Amino acid sequence: MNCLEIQEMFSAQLDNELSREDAGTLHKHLEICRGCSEEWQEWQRIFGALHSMGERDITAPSGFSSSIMAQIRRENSPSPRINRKRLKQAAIGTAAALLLVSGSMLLKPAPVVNIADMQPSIQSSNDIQPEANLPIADQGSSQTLPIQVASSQPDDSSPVEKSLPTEQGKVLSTGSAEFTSSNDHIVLSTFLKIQVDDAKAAEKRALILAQSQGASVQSLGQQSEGGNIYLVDKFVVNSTQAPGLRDSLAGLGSTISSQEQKEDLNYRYSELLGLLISLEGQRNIEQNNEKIGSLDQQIEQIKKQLRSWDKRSGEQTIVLWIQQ
Amino acid sequence: MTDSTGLVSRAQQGDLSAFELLVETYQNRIFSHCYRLTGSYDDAQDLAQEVFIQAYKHLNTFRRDADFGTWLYKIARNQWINKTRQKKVIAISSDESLFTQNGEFAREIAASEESPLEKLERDEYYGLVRQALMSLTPEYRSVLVLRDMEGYTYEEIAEIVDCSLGTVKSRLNRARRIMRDQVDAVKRSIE
Repeated sequence: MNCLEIQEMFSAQLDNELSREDAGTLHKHLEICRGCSEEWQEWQRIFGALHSMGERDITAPSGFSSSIMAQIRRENSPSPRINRKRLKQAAIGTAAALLLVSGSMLLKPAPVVNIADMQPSIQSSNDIQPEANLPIADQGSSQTLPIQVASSQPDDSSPVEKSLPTEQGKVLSTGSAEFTSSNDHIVLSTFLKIQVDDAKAAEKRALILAQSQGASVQSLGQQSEGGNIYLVDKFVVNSTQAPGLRDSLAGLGSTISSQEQKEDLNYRYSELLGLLISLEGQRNIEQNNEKIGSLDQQIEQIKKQLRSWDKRSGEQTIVLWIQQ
Repeated sequence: MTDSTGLVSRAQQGDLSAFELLVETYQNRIFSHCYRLTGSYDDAQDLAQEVFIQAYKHLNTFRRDADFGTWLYKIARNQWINKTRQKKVIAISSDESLFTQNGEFAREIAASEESPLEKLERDEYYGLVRQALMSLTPEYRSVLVLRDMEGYTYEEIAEIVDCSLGTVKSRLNRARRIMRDQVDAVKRSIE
């Protein structure tokens, strides 16, 4: 067999699908052919890497099943059918309407939301285009706007509480007012690799710089090898301080590489906020205690996710790799 | 294979709570699969959501003698291929070697016995392999994800991909050869 024929067997060999005879032929060839042997090692490395990557745990985001079930329940409800595109816009419109209402009625420092600014930042996968110029009334026509929640409250400039008691003693959920759908839910991370003359001294200066910017620091590891020293630290810093800290850290040595990753959460945030408003609307008219409990659970999960995104959007992670 | 026959049966009769249990049972598997196909957390979320919505809408077409998980994988694959055809582009994923979707340094989830340098090199290599995977056509990427990342058998892949056993073997062989070449191409592009 020639080398091409031998390499045609690699795929089957990876799956242990070769006959004993073919496997024997393959092994004998690999023992005498350096080129095929190296090629086989590369195959094992590549598909071994894929296998290891497949073993990493990836879990669905919190509130995932709840959001699916909420969508199914909405689509199952006897209200006039609207298509998915409209439903998404309606949810966003509802969010905007409630934020405006709660802002004006409760005199909360209002997260003023302009419908024109509410267009979701379309992610690469999203085939749904925003519909411009839809009036609020049209967007929200099939949704239950929990406006009465806000209007039943006296004017009060104190912050909006998670739940408000009604005259009947029923506790209404209005927690969504703490969230603002804006375009600044973007998470930035930077990986900075620098070369220095003295790694320890550079790290010490990096820690002082981080402290001066109020960043939290975590050491990810260090290693000495063949006279070289490698130190890796992670800094989490307020977004406004991040560019300054990144530049200062880069100034500690000569930059080998600097990579940034940007994760745009705006669209997901708007969608989830729309869902939260919708669930709160359902929850406030629901009479069945069991269903109220279930809705409260879903609402809490969504709020937890939104809070986590709020926090992450306000911070930036910088991983600093120092090598000497 | 998860025994979900009873839940499927109840869901087919309109029991929403049974369907919710099915979603909870399969959400991590389907989300992981979507993430491996798309290479993006956001895209995976959209795709996985669409899978369950489509499954609910077409629940009555599901044959109870089939495996529900396999059926969901089939929906995922079809939905994803349709989406990529609509967009007519296949996105190259950002480098996962350095960051996880939580913005954390990927090395933190790596094996603890490795030195920082070994971990970094390993993760850089994974990033390269991942980039090569993302450059494949949906048909080839799909079989590699199913076989090499998720360990499905030829028979199960044939069921999901809806083709013969022979086609699975030849497609897998072709996909691996292309993958091998793409790894070299990615290496050259970053050198």
